[in-house]
Amino acid sequence: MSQPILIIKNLQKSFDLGGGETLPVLTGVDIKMEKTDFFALMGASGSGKSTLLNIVGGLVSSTSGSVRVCDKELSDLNDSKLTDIRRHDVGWIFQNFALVENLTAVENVIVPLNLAGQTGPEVQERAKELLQQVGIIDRMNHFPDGLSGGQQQRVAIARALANDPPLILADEPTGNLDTKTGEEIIQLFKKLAENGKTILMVTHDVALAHAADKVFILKNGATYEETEEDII
Amino acid sequence: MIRDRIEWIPLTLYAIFRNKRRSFAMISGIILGVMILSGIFLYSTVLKQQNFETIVENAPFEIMLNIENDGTIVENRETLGDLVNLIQSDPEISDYTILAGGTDDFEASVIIDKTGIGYSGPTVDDDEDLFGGGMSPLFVDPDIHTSLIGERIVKTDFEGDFSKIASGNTTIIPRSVASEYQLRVGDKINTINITYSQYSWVDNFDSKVFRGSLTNVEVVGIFEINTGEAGLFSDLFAMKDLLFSSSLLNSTLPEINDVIKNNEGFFLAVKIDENQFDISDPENMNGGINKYINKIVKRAQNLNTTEYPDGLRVSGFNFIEMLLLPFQIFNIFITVFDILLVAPAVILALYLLFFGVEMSLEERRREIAIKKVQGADTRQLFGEMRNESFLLFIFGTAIGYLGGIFGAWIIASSLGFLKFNVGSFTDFQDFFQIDGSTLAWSAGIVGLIVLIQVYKKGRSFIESEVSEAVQRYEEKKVGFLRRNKLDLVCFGIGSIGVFLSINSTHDVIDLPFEPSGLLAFVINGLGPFFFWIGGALVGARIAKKVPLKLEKFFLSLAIFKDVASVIRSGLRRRGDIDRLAIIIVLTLSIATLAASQGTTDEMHAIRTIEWEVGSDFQVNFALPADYSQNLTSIQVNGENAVNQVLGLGTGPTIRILNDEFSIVGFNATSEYENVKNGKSIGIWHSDSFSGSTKRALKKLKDNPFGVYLSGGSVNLLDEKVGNEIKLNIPILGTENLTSFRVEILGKIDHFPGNIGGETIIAHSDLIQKLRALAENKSSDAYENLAMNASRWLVKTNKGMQMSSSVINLFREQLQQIQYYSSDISLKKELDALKSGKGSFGIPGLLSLDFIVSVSAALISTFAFVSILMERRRYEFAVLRAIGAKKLQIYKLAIGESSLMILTSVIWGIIIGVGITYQFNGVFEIFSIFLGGGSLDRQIVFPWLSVILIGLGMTLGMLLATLLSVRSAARQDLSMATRVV
Repeated sequence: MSQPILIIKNLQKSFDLGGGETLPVLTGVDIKMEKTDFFALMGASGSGKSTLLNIVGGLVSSTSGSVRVCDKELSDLNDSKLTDIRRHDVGWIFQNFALVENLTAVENVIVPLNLAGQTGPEVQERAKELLQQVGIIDRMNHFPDGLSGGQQQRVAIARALANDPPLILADEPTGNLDTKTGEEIIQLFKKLAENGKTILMVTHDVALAHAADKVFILKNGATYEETEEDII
Repeated sequence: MIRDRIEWIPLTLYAIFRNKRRSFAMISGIILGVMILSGIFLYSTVLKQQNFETIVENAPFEIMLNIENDGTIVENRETLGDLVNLIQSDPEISDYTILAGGTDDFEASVIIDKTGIGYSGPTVDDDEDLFGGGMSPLFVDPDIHTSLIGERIVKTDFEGDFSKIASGNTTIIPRSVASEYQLRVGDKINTINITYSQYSWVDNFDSKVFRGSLTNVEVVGIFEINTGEAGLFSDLFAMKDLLFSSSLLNSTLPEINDVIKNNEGFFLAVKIDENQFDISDPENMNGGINKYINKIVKRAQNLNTTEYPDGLRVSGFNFIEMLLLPFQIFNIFITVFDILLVAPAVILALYLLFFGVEMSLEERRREIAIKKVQGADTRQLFGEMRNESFLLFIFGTAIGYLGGIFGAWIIASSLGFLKFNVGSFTDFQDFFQIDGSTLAWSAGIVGLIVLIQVYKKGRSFIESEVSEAVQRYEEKKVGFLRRNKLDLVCFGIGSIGVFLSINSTHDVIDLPFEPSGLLAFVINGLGPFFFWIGGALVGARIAKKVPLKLEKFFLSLAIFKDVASVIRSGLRRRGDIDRLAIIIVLTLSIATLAASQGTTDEMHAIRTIEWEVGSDFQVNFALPADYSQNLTSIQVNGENAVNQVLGLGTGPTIRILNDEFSIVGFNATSEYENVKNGKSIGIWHSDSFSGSTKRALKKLKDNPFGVYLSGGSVNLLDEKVGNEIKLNIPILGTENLTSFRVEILGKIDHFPGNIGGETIIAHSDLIQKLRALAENKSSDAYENLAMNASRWLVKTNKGMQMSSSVINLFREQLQQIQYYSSDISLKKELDALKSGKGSFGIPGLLSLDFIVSVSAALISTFAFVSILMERRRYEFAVLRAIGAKKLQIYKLAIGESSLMILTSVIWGIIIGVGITYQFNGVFEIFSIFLGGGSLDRQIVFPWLSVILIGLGMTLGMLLATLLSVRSAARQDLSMATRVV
């Protein structure tokens, strides 16, 4: 049995509204992911999908419960250690790609490598290799505004893979793409999962969600695995 | 109702605090603008008030009353007596006296002949035109010393015995006349010729001259009228009246007495009772005095007695108003110059203000467009913006005015550039006042600009396309000047001006022509502003390109390697960073200008004093002679006080072609040895002679029959250095000239001891030979002549270490030498300079310029970078999400800014050096106008200070960058996953 990459146990998160009032968003989330798992997370708007993803990615702290990424308990880590998690253990993919303007595709992929302290010619080679992997090597010297949405998202995926993190978090990765391009991106995710990555994807698109190994539904602050009833 | 009307205030305040960055930029501009303007206006107001108070405190009387001569009343003096009877019991009067002197119909002159001590005074030429040096006689009541008016005359620095005016042939003279004619109390003047020239314009122009003489007149007193800070203008208006007793007029000058009596020469001087008038400010006081004068005139007209059936026609003159007029002119001049001096800093403040307004509108662009879609009208669209601007203006003006009070104190209390007389902080209360006109002017100017900006720029937003509602940011428009490349044209024209300024200072090349007319005005008049503004805009181009050129090297630095790729993105980014570069160049250049001109001003003042004094002491004698023995034997506290002396001998006036020159000689042989041994007597400057002083003195030593001429004289004579010229010397007692050939050894700019550049400088041997020739003696007799000089430079043993008491003891010894006339101590003069006397606030203004520039630079950086970082919050959140640490966010912000800041700082210093050269002419004119000497104003660049300022401002701006990026680095990282 392989080592779990992500274990979420009874995760709770509530937001302070001021005046002593709180808004509970997550009331008891439990998810466990292993290597090569590709899970989709669905739910209505405001159900807490992005909050869950932010907690797993070390962007937001939880109120209680446990989140272990690569066997590290996030609530035990300070800001610097959390950055290390984001740097080495987690790769982020955003809905609007969030590429750095004025940097070419290959330079965008180099950014996380540089941030992790890697420099020199091998970094360039690594970036090219990743762009090759996501099928956009022919556009490596293009700036973001010269790339289509799908191409930008491929660059963003290559960037997420730069430091070879075991866990990829994708927040609505196809939200800004047409159906066909969205399907291509999902196929890319499946390929990445087959190659050993663990992927947790938030999406609204039911069809694309079903390309994942499992679909979790977030409702009333808790997750449960999708059932036939949900599908109907 | 009221609640509805003030409802907007809390909402607007909330908006101001919520958008604190744009509010900060805007209010900073308002504060700095109001602070500078109100500072200058307050300084001017207080200066005016202080001068007014000085006049009121020292004026011997305030009103002059006279009886107009209508042809029937001729006994001016007796009629005045009747006028006295009419007004003497008025409560407005505290004292009065009848004086006699010149009036509008007369010109009077005192001609002093001090025969015997070698001085001949002004003369009357054949056409009866007067050359009186501006003096006039004033005949006073013999008992005037017992009156209030008399007390005022002796109030300030009176020397002598006032009561002696009643006895015999005596006079009391003003300090200015005493200095000019080298007179002391106790001196007896052989003859004083008084000439009245009466002009008549009835049919044809006619003039009659009346003369009288006083002989063997003793100077029994010297008085001084305190003319306040504008004392430098004393020649223009200060009293140059010589006081005599009216009994002397009756007994000795009967013809003149009659002329004066019959021609309204007598007048009634009236001292007001200050308790009866509002003397708090000039307007009120003059209003009160003029009202009282009108009252007297009316009462005199209504006198209607048998003796005066038609009443008395009295004319009154407000003496205070007359004395104030030059001060007021002076004040306007100072204010205009001050504004000129701080104009760049005002423009800087306004630029910051413009940016705040633009930023405020820019941030509302989307909001405005959305509201337009929803049907909002212009008034609604502008409401919030207008309200915010209004409140910011009110707060900014209040804070700015308080800053202006501080600024005015800085101007007034500066002893040098960034040197303040902390002790004068007690005077701070003079400036701590709400002056209505100051507040109205400064707030009005800034408010008008805010209003124009808000509405002008706002219109373009109102007219913006609705489609902008869905756009986030608009591409930044390039300014008019840059768009049309006019910045390069301005910079080019300005650069020509800078080159011409540098060339005129350092004689780099001989120009085939000099610009004149309109071209000269554009290059020299507008050039500094072209160079400054054009240079700043060009600086924005440079600050963008240079970092890109240096990118490879810069990003290879170990410290930036981990954020190199992101910094690269920042360096390529266009937009507001250009504006920051412009602001940095504008501010740094003004800071450099202020530091350089501040230092130059101080050094120029010191150089001028050193030139005017010439050595540790300058001693002048009424009779030219060899005083070397007298001077070197002076002892103070039992020790020899004098080290060496150098006499500056004058020869006869010589003629070269048609021009007359004076010639000054000194012992160049001994002074050369002194210079060689580093113990020179004279204070030589690098530009005293063209070339080195040592070489020039050696030339004079080796060639005692060579001369040095000023550059102007060489050009006038159309000669060159190395040519021989013929000196024509008048032979005394004859109409003949004898001639002598000398070689032009070189050019002289200025010679120690206030010897002007138009004087020929020679070895003392030459002077003696010329003198011998002039006296028609045998040419070889000159060797036996002693050094004959009236001005002596004295080097003391203790030099600048002499204490004030030792200096006083030394001066007492000097005064014992026969024919001693005056002396100047270098240390005393430099001490006076350090106490800030006569600086007219220039160092303070430059200090204020500097403080405003540095503040503007730091505020701008903080405001600009804050806004830029605010816009990049999402980008930073994403970077943090993909593994950037906080430290790396700081590093990339610093990395992106530092090259641009450094480039802008260096360029700003370069532009500052250029405008320092160009503005030097303005300072020079001002300096000459205020009587600051005729030395060239050599620019002194305090390079160490300039570099430290540049480094300090770079560090300050980087710190401002760090502070502004702090919140962006610490923000909620979940922003990264929000869709923007």
